[in-house]
Amino acid sequence: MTVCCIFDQGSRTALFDDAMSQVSALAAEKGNAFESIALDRNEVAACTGCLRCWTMQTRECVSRDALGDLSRHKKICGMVIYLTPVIFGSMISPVKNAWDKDAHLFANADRMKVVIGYGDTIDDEEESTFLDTITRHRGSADVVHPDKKEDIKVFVTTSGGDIRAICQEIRKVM
Amino acid sequence: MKRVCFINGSLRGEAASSIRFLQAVDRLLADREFEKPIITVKAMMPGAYPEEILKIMGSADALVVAFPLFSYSLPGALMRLLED
Repeated sequence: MTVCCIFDQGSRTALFDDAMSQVSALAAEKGNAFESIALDRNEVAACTGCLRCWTMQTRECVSRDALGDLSRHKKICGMVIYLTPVIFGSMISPVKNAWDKDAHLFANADRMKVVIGYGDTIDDEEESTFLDTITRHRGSADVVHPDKKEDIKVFVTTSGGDIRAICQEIRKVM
Repeated sequence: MKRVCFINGSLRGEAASSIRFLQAVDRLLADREFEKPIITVKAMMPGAYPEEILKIMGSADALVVAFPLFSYSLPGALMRLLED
């Protein structure tokens, strides 16, 4: 399968490089194709919540932005990994925009999503907020799309040691 | 006079429920006692939000933020404003 990693190109840190390197190595080790997609915060439009992608069954966003091509691309991915700094207990805006649209554009897609939040100074409250809000999308907990089949795994890392442990978990489902 | 800055975190314009909530709070605050600027998020903001908007937020005595929950958390458009 193809593993697609989405991240904000303005948020590259040493920890990010470490995570990207280990995740891509894991994908290669498991015989998967790996693609990384950098998002530019100036070229990604936020979801307006119009739900046309869902109600009109187009599975395409009305916004003409960098995520348009990405949407078509992601449909062929068996696993999508969101790599984002943790900001106010959430994802950074370009990644959050992709995530918000993802929920509707691929509502019935049978695939795995992995979210890795990183940062050198993530406090306990931010970490628990990040894990809790994202984990709520798992399985039948999603009230908008109760028939959703995809699974979601969420992690937070503040060190290279964490990333090694996270990759061990991803290895089990890749 | 105190400044209460209203932040509309919805992209649905005048149809937004967020606007209704802000208007309800607005009615509770007397115009002669409070200055009440309103900031609405944008779907795309090349560069960064203008300095004058950020100064209005920074100088406010209180921020009142209304927004739709997207994926159980803040929508990306509001995240962008808060990041700036």
